[in-house]
Amino acid sequence: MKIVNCFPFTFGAQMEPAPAVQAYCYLIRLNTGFWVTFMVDTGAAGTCLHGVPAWRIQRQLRPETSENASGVGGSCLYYGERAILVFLDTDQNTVSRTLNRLDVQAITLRDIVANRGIPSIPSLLGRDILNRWKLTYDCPNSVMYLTSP
Amino acid sequence: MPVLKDRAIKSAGGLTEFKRQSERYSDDLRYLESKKPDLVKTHDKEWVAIYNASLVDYNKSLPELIKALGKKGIPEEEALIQFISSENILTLYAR
Repeated sequence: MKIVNCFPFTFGAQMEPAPAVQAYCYLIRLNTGFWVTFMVDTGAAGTCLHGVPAWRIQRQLRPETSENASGVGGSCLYYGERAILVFLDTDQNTVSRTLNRLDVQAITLRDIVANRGIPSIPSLLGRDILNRWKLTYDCPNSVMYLTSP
Repeated sequence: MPVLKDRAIKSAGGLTEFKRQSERYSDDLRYLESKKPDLVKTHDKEWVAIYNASLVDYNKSLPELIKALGKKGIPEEEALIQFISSENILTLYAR
């Protein structure tokens, strides 16, 4: 078993810290990757990129992969990309998970200029990954980690 | 999928570089979280860029911030860029 540590993080906003995990997000088709801080979100069906990581690759995304997704905050357009997330476990070994569809938030330049809808939404690590792992979350004792089989 | 993982790590510059980046990114995250109470007072509604555990730039405009990082020779994709907000947020998501 491999253990990937999580940590409490507020994502630059005024909110209760949420469990977060850092991962290297590699987009297979684009052959590019970057580090992302994901909020661990059992309420999210799928893992998705929001904000700056999504904006970085916006011009390279394919319109034919777009799908609408809805949540409490409303609906939003996402592009799909095949991706692999690489984590470091507590022994400094790599642990990876492949996503056949990573949802990437569609962001327009107008959104960016107006700081509209983009800034405060963290990227989410959803159940497409969490359902394959064990999540241990004991916030009062600062214990939060993912266990990979 | 070991081949894909290898490709991913290669894109980061190899395993040693991958681990170095991971450590630096962790340091940047810790720095941001520890300084956030101050940043909310001084940079509310602004984008901040953290690199090597220091605040390297800030701007109300994300594109302008990215440009400024380029001029300073800081790789934008390696910097931790975060919007600072004094507002409460709630995130729930369903598909």
